Amino acid sequence: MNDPLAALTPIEKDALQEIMNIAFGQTATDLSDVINMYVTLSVPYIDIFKIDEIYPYICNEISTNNDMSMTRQFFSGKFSGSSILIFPHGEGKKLLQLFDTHNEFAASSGYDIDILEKETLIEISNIIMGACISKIAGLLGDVVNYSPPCYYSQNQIHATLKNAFAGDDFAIFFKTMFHFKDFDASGFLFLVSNYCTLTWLKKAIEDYLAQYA
Amino acid sequence: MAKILIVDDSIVARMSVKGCIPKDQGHALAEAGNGATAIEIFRTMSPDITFLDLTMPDRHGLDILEELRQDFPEAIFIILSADTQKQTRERAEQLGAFSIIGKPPVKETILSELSRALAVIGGRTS
Repeated sequence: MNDPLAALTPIEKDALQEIMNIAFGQTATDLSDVINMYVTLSVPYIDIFKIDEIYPYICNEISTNNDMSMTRQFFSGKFSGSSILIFPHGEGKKLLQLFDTHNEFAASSGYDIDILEKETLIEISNIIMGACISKIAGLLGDVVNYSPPCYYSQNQIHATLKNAFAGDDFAIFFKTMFHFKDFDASGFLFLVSNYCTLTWLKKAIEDYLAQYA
Repeated sequence: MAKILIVDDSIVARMSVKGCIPKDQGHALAEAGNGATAIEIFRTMSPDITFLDLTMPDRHGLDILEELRQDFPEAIFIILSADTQKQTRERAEQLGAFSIIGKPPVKETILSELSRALAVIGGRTS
């Protein structure tokens, strides 16, 4: 491939965007069935980036939020890479209600609310990232494994992202925003897939499209 | 024979629906890749059946349905979406959607919903 940035044709990009849209829609439906929570997701954005462009891109996307929390998880299979969820500070406390239906945590002074927020975000991340990625992989005919999600507080986010996305390689970049309507809580989901998966990805997209030929 | 409009921001998704519609039945097909174009084409074409995606960049499919429903009470809207959450289904039903088909679409499901819709249209004219 001469120009990595043009490695996906418009139809392949459209197909991948549709696959991601389907995966997110199905994830939202599953979440709503399991935890009775209405989730909306924005239309996903997909492109091929030079790896060192990812950190500035994410910074620009989250620039209106001065205080955030981040979780990061790796996935591996034919489709491999990392997923990142970024929440504005405080969203974890709102989402804690999901796991605190009897107001047990909120009413007790025995719990550290910051730790509970952190654990909530890790759990939510695990659910969202796992569901989204497994559905994308499933639609593309793959099965993936995951590392446990890691949590990063505000003062760790920038250094982590900067280190993670350094170098001259290329990556397939996905972005969407999600909103938990009942809790008025939002966040960003970024997926960064290794460029070496591209050959497999193009074939998987071709197979997906062949169903409708 | 019916006038059918397919609304989806994804070319691939439109192709997949189009590929399921029998070519030998003489249906008139039109496509729209965003909400604004969908409304424009709808008002000109007045389709009998509309396959309508929900998650699109400029407008949500249910907002389009809400707008068009007022002027076209008899039009049949078949929703195509991976988002089949209870709240989504309830709002679609309130707005008089004919049915909701989960994505990715299965050919048999599209064909059976199309047949049901054509039967309703046939029942009105007979």
